[in-house]
Amino acid sequence: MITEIGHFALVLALCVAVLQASLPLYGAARGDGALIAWARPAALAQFLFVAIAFFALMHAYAVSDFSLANVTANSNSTKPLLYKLSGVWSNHEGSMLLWVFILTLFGAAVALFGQNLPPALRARVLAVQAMIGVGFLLFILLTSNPFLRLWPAPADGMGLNPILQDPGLAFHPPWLYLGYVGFSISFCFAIAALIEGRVDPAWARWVRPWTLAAWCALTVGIAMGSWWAYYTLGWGGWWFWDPVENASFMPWLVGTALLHSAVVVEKREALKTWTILLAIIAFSLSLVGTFLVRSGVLTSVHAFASDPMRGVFILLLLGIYTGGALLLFAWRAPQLQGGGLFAPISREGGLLLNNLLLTTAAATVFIGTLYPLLLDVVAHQKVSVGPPFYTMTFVPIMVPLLVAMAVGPMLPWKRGDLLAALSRLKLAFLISASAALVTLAATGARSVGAACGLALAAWLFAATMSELAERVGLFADPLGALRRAVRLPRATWGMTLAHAGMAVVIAGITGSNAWTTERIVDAKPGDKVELAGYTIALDAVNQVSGPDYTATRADMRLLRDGREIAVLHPEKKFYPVENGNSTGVAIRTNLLADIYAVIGDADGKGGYAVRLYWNPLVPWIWLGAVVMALGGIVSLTDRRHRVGAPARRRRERAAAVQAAE
Amino acid sequence: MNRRGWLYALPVLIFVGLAAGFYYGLTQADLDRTILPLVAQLEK
Repeated sequence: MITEIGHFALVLALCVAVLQASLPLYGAARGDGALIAWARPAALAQFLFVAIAFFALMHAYAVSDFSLANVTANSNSTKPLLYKLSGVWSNHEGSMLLWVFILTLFGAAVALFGQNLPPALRARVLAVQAMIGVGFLLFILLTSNPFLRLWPAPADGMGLNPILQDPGLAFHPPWLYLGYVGFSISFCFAIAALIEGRVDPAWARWVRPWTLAAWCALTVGIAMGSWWAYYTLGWGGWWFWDPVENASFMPWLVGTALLHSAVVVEKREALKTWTILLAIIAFSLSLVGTFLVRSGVLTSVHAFASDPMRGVFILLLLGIYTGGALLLFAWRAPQLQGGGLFAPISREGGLLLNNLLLTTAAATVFIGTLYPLLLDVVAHQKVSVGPPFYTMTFVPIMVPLLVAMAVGPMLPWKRGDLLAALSRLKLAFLISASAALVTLAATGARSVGAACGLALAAWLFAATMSELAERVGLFADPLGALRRAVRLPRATWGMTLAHAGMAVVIAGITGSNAWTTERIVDAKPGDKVELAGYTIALDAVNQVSGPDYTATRADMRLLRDGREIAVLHPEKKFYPVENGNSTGVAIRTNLLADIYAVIGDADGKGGYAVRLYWNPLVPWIWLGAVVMALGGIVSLTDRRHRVGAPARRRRERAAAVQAAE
Repeated sequence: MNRRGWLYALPVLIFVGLAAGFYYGLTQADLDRTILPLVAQLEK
């Protein structure tokens, strides 16, 4: 019964979305307040219906209702509750429902917190958002319905892919989707601005918090995915340039560019059409990502639907939304009035350089992702585009970006002096050069690349801190610095944290690429293995049982200079229902480096394949990403970015006036 | 349409080309879809 309610709610959501996509848009065009007012309750109702559908599916998973084909194919009665619930989005149908759930969640958020928006703009934003909702709700109902019944219902389900049976599944996809789908709001604002023919600083102020929220979520989502791959796949790697990793990375790159270009629109009314185009591209790349994963056009670890019908449907949606948005852009953007002029050396110039480099980087990743397919189509040649391609192409684009990131915040708006800005970065330059020299002295001439990477990270970190120190007058008036620091706008703190986090990420990437040490040995219980100054003693290997798996579990002691530091328990799990394996990596970290242990198959002579890694600075990759996302969140709390804040203040003021009367 | 106008239409042209490529790639059954890095590593 609950399933039928969920199914019916999805149909109702489609009906509401159709109304929401048409009436407010018509009302805004005619200036009809009654029709404009439709947008808000419709967005809330659409969210409510999709939420009912989503939780009905979750309920079916929780109670293991195997009369649903989707539950049978992706769950099993022996699964722990966490994997039953997160199994909802482990498959194509459920994850599309999660996609639409988050889409309507953002719509409801705009309806609730966007009260400071002009009603016509809000109506247009919500109408465009509902158009996206209509397409994806139709997609779910016509091609990917999770509520289809099986009769007779089987006694038990087929289970969940062992690699997905991890807490990572509970968090990574929702965060990633919050980012992907969050960019739909920036997209809707862009379309609404094109329809209205007006982009001004107020528009940029409204669009920035939503972009920032999506960017934070996407940063967290990508970092979580990378961390999950690191500890699940068992190769010690954390990024593989897999098409679907790339599909999430491209919107992040363009979204980062969008965040920065929106600042220029807000402060100087320049780069308006460019910002609109970026907003369209950021969400379009999210749609392309959805297309790549769902259509089966590319094979990847994430691709789980290879039904051409679904692929054609998503391509059609991509054509309607992206093609339609770009057509509207081609028609309306030339009519948008240009904004403030600026010299090439200026804050705006720096932000434009940031935009050009980030979008070029995104284009590079895009070409690398699709090139194998293109070559196969055109020349029937098989190529694999892997890390060497990206090292050769992506890194040279990132280096000038990181150098410029340090200088940009030092430049004033309109017209700046590069030499003056650089002279304020002398200390940062000295720290950066010292980092390079210390690295070379400690590790030898073979680490030139690593020395450059760490120098770059030190340059960015030191420059970011210098800029902060200057702002608060740390050296001019140390006693008053704390007071001034507290009074700094939170957006400034956000920028500082995000840039510093990026420096930490760069250091982590450099360390892991340059100095990771790997040992693959055939070890018997009682053997000891040396790794990067540590000794790892394999004491025993046992067979253990979990709720729905059996595992080969090793007991390893990690020793340094004969002293025990930790006990590691890597596992290789076998899931009989799914007839598949997964790796349970054991990691010991001291936040400067990880010891990473994997137990493999038995060799039949009492030994086991054991893989051991020493991964220096790897934890900094995720630490840096968290600091970056934290920067975004701090920036979101800035008074100027708080959505709905002016409306709330107005209401409070009105209440105060009433009370005084 | 003036010269500036064509510049604004450029993204549409790029997108149409891409969408046509996607459609062809999607409907071509004999394409090798398993040549990508992570899949290759998984199959090792």
